[in-house]
Amino acid sequence: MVDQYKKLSELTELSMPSNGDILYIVHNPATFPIDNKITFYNLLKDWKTSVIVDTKDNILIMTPTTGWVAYATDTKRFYIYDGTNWQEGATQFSIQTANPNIGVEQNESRQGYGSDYITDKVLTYCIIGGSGDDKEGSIRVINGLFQIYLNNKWNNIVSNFILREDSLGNFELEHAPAGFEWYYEVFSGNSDIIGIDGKPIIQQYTSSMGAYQPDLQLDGGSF
Amino acid sequence: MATYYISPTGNDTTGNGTLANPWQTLAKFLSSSIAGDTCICAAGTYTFTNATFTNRIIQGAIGGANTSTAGWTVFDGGSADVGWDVSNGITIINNIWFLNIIGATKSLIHLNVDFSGDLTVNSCRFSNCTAYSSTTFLGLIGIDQHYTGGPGIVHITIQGCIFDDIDFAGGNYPAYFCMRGAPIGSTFNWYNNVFIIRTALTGAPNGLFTAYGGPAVFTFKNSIFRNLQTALNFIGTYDVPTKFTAINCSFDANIPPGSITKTDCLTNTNPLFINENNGNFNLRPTSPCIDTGTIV
Repeated sequence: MVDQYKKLSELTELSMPSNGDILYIVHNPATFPIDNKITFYNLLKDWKTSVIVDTKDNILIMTPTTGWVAYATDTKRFYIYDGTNWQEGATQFSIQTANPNIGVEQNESRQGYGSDYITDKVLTYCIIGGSGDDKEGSIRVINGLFQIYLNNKWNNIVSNFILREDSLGNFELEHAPAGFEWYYEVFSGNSDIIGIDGKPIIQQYTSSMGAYQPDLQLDGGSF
Repeated sequence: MATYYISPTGNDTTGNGTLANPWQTLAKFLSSSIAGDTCICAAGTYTFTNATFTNRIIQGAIGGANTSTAGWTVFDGGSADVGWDVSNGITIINNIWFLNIIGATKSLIHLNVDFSGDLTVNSCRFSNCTAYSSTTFLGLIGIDQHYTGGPGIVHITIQGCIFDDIDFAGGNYPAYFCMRGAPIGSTFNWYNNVFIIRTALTGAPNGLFTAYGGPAVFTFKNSIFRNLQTALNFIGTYDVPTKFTAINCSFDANIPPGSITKTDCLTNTNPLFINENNGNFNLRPTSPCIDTGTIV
């Protein structure tokens, strides 16, 4: 280890000290008492405000003291050392230039996380919860129903419609109503579940108790 | 998923399981098929023998007679102690008439709650079968393994079936269905069934359904309970209020539903079958059960 003294005006580059090296910043090295020299490294240790800038892989192998902050040039995320591990910040940084945007808006979120919006994202493994926000386009799941707020009211979103091919090759439009287990042919109201006598167990959205459903009585009105 | 055919006039040796050249026995289908395959059983009578299978669809003939086995696919046990084990998979049984199956040590259909399994039984008839055995907790259809709840979640759906003249006179915990230890998440749904009791429950305790241990719940919808002998029979044993729910069901005077949870049910009601003594369970035009069910 060799002490090298340079004037600030003579400094062309400033390197971080490596193990065993001590970098002093002093006013006048000839007259400054050695005991009062403040090592740059000690300053760095105590300040905890310096930011390491490097790739993520290089950052993660460092083991500084608690509170060190790092910025990864490849992942564009901040990291902070908790004494054991590096904790990764959730958001990334985006390039911002001095050039203005075309148009009115100049404060857009380039990551898509605005103060009151989220855009250009794919939601996976998410759950739609409840909502009391009666605004056009609000969505919610409530009491087993998926709803959207349109035309000043909450509307149920209907699903579970299928086209089922019968034995003759014809297709029937069937629906499984929310909260019910079986499919029903939409126009006839007959279940696709056939009973013991070969007839649908549910007919015209009506069921009788038991295994046999009575024959339908067609009402021709009165004479 | 392939479909194979069996017929009482088929041949396990020379047949190939096609419609034109069917096999004769269910055993031949089971040994020749894989998971997801369907067995179309032509009308007629087959011998009901022991079998262990799962992930199969057994489809009988549709539209058999009301008061006889004519036109039905019948599996006749010949009073032997036989049963099917359908644990650990998905099994669907449609339009089969199970006859003369006296399971002294077996359930007619059995699941083991060490394994998960789904069983759906549609539009079948069960007659002259026993609902008891010398072994506790089997029943006509039974699942059992662990008193406190086994690891295997099961889903049982019995719909559109007729249970007539099932023998409850003996054994331990005779029951249409005996469940011991199915874990939470298991379901037992009974929709649009007819239960005709002609013999008294003399095995102990009295209950047409046994739920012994485990948190599972029986749900009955659109089902008719008709007791043609004088002794009272009860719906369930053990934890009755919490384990049995009846929705739009009919109970006659000799089957008091007791403290089970009921919604829109008929009690002390004769369902008015056309001829319950000869097995015609169509409803008369004046039946209180017409149009008083609920959609499922």
